[in-house]
Amino acid sequence: MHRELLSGARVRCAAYVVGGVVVFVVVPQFISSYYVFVFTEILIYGIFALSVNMLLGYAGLISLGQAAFWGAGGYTVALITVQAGVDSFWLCICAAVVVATVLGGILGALALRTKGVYFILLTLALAQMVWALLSPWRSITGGTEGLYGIARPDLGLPLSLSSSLSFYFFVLVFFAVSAFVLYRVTRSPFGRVLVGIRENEQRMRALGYSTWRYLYVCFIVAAAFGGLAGALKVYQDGFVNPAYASLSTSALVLLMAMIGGTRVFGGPVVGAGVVWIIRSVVSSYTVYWNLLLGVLMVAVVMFAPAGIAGYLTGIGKRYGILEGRRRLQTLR
Amino acid sequence: MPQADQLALVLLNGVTFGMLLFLLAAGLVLMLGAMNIVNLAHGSFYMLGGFVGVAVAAKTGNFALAVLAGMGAVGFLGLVVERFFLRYLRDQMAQVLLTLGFVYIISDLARTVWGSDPLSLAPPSFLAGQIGIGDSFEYPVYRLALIGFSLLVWVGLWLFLERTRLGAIVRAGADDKEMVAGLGINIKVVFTAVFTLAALLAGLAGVVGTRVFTASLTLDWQVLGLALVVMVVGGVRSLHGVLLGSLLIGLVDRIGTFFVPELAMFLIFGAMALVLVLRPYGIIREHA
Repeated sequence: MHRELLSGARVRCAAYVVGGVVVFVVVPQFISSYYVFVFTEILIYGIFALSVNMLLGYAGLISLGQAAFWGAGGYTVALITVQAGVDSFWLCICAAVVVATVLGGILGALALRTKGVYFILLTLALAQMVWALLSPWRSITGGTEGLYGIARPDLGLPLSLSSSLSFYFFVLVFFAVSAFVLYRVTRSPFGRVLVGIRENEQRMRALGYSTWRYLYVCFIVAAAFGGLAGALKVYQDGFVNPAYASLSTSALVLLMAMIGGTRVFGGPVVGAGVVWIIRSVVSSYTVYWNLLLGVLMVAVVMFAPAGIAGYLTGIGKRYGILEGRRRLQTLR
Repeated sequence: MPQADQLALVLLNGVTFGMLLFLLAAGLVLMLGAMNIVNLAHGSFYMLGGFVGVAVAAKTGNFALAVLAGMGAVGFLGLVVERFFLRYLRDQMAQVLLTLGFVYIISDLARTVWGSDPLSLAPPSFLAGQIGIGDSFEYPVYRLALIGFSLLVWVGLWLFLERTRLGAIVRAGADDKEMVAGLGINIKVVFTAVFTLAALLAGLAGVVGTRVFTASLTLDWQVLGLALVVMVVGGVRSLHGVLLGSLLIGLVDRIGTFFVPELAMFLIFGAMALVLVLRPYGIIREHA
């Protein structure tokens, strides 16, 4: 089918790309190194929140255990560089993703035997198990203090990542690739089946889809990207500790996705941005940033249940800036 | 102390810890098991109960008053949370986000009011001291009282859920709210009342539990994690299952702490994983 060059979809797509380039490429050149750090955090947590949203927004599964994969990725990098003394970025990042993927395969097989409330509790409990292994295993994981002294990656190229801006752009590349891959996944037939399962699993099964297999693959994909994000976070922090795999980390990433909006692809990134900007701006004025975050969450649930991005696209659709409901109406 | 006595002490401590875990999870049985509401602020409710109880005891020196104040404060909070927030939410995702929001709000407020030092509450005089069991064996009276009290709560909750009209309404309402409302029952009021009751239980557990877990700021996540593990092991919808799960986890924790202290936490979750491999829906599975 022939598509017009300036169709609504293309204009919107171009607008998102231009907007993304302005926010993530142009703006960081002009801000202080502290805010470059904040932007880096937003991108890393952005990957993390996109990964948990594969389960939450597309498959409709609430996982309270995503921190297990973040921790798995992080500890893999730390173990290879600090404990084994091998300083190879590509080895580390690949190993981190592989370890998180394998862990996802194991935990997913256990957790996906159940549904609903049980699934929420099981993911939480299984992640707590990973967390509980990290502190006592002092000789290998460094106990509660964790592992320190992980340097910024050395790519083996004539390119130094020691400055915060160069590291930021390095993370941006990973973010862009991850976001692109996950976007394609959600728009693929596989992603459509996931949405079908979210809406009505019985019907999808009646249509002949092996729904368990789809959910399992989704869980593993989410785990892999969670691990990648965790590995990048360790390079950002320079250390890793058991808090990486804690329940509050799982909760934080879940709330980023929900604050931003789970039904809009970029929603979780918006959520990560909002949480980090509140944290960085507010924490210089007051110590009550958790309180503010909590109030924001309550407000989002009560007044914008589709999340911030969901709320904004809803407005956009109502006024015809974005395509959506209007087209349906003309069809009728 | 002879080896046998030491072992008996460990086992008794395990039972005490398990019964406290049950008291902690009892509120969740009502919320999650009976009403199908995911309340991640349960650990925060517990923590708040402990802080209020310790503060009141410090002012008045009266244990009973501390328990009442802890229960009252948390019960009122539960009432507000259900009546003005949770009632309007449709799906579990919204419940998760809302109650997580309250976790952050409560922890920040508690840090401001009570600071980050762990606090603990002295038992009342009639429960203080040790009691002799057998010849050379002593155990704190307070802990035995805690076991007895938790058993009372267990029996009371069982009678309430299985043997009263209100309990039947709650169980029916969890299955099909509209149908129950169609029978002319004001299910909203029932849910608010039961949620408040569950919060009261969390506050109660918080006050009496300060002897075991001292009231501190990291308690909300820690307690939530333990309570949910107990629920998962026992079977979310089964009160008896949760009691069995609590005892199992309590015993595993104390025995583990005694023999391999570094791995105690892991053993808890290992026991959980083992139960789940064998029975994914917990020890006792009850259909909703």
